Amino acid sequence: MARESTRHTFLVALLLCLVCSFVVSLAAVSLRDRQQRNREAFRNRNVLMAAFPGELSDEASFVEFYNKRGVSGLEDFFDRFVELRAIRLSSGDDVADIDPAGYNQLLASRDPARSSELDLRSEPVRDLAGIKSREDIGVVYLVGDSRDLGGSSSASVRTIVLPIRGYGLWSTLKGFVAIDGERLSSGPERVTVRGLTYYEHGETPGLGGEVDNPAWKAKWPGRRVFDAEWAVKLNVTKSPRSEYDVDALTGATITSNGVSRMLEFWLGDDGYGPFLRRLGTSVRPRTGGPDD
Amino acid sequence: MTEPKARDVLVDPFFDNNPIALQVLGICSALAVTTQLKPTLVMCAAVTFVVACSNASVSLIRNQIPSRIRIIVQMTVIASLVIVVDQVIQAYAFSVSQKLSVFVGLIITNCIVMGRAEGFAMKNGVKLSFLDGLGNGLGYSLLLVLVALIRELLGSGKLYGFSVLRLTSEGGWFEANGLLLLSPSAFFLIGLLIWALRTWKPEQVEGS
Repeated sequence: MARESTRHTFLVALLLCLVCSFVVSLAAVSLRDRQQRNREAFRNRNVLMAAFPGELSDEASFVEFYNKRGVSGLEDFFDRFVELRAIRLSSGDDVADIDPAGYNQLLASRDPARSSELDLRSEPVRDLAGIKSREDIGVVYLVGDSRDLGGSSSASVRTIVLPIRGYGLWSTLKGFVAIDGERLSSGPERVTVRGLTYYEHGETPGLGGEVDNPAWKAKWPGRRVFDAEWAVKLNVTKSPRSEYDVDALTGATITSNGVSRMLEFWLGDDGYGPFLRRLGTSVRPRTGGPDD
Repeated sequence: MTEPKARDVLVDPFFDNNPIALQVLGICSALAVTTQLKPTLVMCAAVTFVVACSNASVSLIRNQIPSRIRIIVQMTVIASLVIVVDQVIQAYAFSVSQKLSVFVGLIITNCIVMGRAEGFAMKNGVKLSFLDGLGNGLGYSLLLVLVALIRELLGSGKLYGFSVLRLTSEGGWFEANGLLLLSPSAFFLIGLLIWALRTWKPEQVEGS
């Protein structure tokens, strides 16, 4: 058969495609578990970066961080200092029959049976984060210095890390915001941000992508969140004037607005607002438990 | 046409026919991944693997490839190899894969890979093609590692992530040169390296 014939051309193309797709599928399938574990570890590292801003940045700072607390690594730290809870977002109550470690919030938000659609035409706008539908049950990370968090009634929590996501300019930004838990009991006006990180986004490098810039992230710790009525006042603005304002990113108005609106959403009534309120009324000042 | 010698095929691309310094190919990734040594080494290994294997694969089927679709056949082989490499890096070097981000995927469009497949592997045997790919990958790596060494050392006072020159910001004496962390500095360094190489080997100077 001639090498240049149409039949031979089709045959070569077909065989090549079969072989190549087999090789590519083999690599993708056989490595999927490992990649999944990597991504999870990366997410969990971001939880810590939100909760301990300034302390954690590169690999070396993580090693030092673990050594100081006498843990062997990320998993050990999570076992001993972090409590995961599944929360019914509408009421803020704990959900007992869901294992928060195995619960995939993003998957749930796409399942009509486990999420509720946000009415796009409602006035004022409800879907501030641009996510269209919101899962019914969300996960929170309660980060303490030791795991004496106990039941919800006797909780003494240092930092509450909440997963957030929302649309920026090009992409959905996914990250975490950490709230100072010790101040929760002294009223909504005392509540402050501890840190903010994004672990996934596709914003323009150098402009909106600067949400990853440590200098910008350093502006967040200490910002106040709520007014006296638990309404979210925290926002990103071009001319910061009060303790609620964070300086916007240069050349990235839409990304900055996206960050601002997603925080308003996730910290507000449709997000973790009910949970924070409930925690605020039940948290006792830290007295030191017996197993401290 | 005389059969090229195996040793020449492997060693020529180091200095005499360096893909970056003489052919000035693959500059894009050379700028992007060389701020630190560790991602650079991973990138070099990835490119070397892809060039060597794509060369060998293309050479293996070179007598079957109809000339009308030869470019797309080469592309398919290269793209598949790059996806495999990308998956492996994501599984075994996750933090590096995030630094390299799109540049692993962009190996597909790296002119070195395509150039060797079309220019060498289509005409030569499997063993020679493999060696040619290996040599070109290593020649590319050589230059990238040199650039990365200078950029990481002078740009952040570190080598492979370890502090070598103590920075003034950490109480040392070394004032880091921020320019070296920006892409243009790689242009300057590659230019200087090409100058040095052509002073050493004047036959590489293009006719004026």
